Amino acid sequence: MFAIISRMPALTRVAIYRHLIATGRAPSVGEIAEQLGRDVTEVERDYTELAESRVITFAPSTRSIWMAHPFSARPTPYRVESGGISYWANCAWDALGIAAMLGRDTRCVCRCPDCADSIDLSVSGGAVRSDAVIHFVVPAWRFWENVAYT
Amino acid sequence: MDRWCEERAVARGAVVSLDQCWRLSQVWYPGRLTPDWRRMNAMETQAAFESVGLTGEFWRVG
Repeated sequence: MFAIISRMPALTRVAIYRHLIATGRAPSVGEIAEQLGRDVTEVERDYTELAESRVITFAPSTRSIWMAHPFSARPTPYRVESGGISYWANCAWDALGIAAMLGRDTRCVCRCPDCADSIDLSVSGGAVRSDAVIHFVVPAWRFWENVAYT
Repeated sequence: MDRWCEERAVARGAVVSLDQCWRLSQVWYPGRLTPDWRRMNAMETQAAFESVGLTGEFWRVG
């Protein structure tokens, strides 16, 4: 026995991430459908499947991408700059995740939520530049209970 | 950090260095750009955490 598994959601996922990397902005279903030469309803189905498998998260009460980890489609306190493009990360860890996905130097300075001092989350030459720490509040097994709060 | 937790009435969680997070990011994220990527299962996730020194009950996933 074997299962036939469509590769289309995977190709849609790759297209979403490539769009995010190229522009810093989350693509609409229409943009991805046009880029891949596919029907909008098919790509909508892919978006739903990607959301159900927690690859992307829709903004509340919408079918628009809010998060495609490590990227956020909405402004956050974690703005990452690289190659002349601005990105938003969901959290401090994701600011580093964007650097990992881009594979190039990034600059990101955020504010400590406790003392408001600036914290350098930049990556340069394949290494972080700060000796700061990140406080994870929610244990790993509960990360997906509320993906906006870890 | 203790004051931050006290003000928000949350328990202190896990404190991780930026270098650990950076190394975890490098095993966690880049694969999403390839069609064959799939989400890590619990065992793979646990191994990824352990590979950067994130061990103990807080980092147990299943």
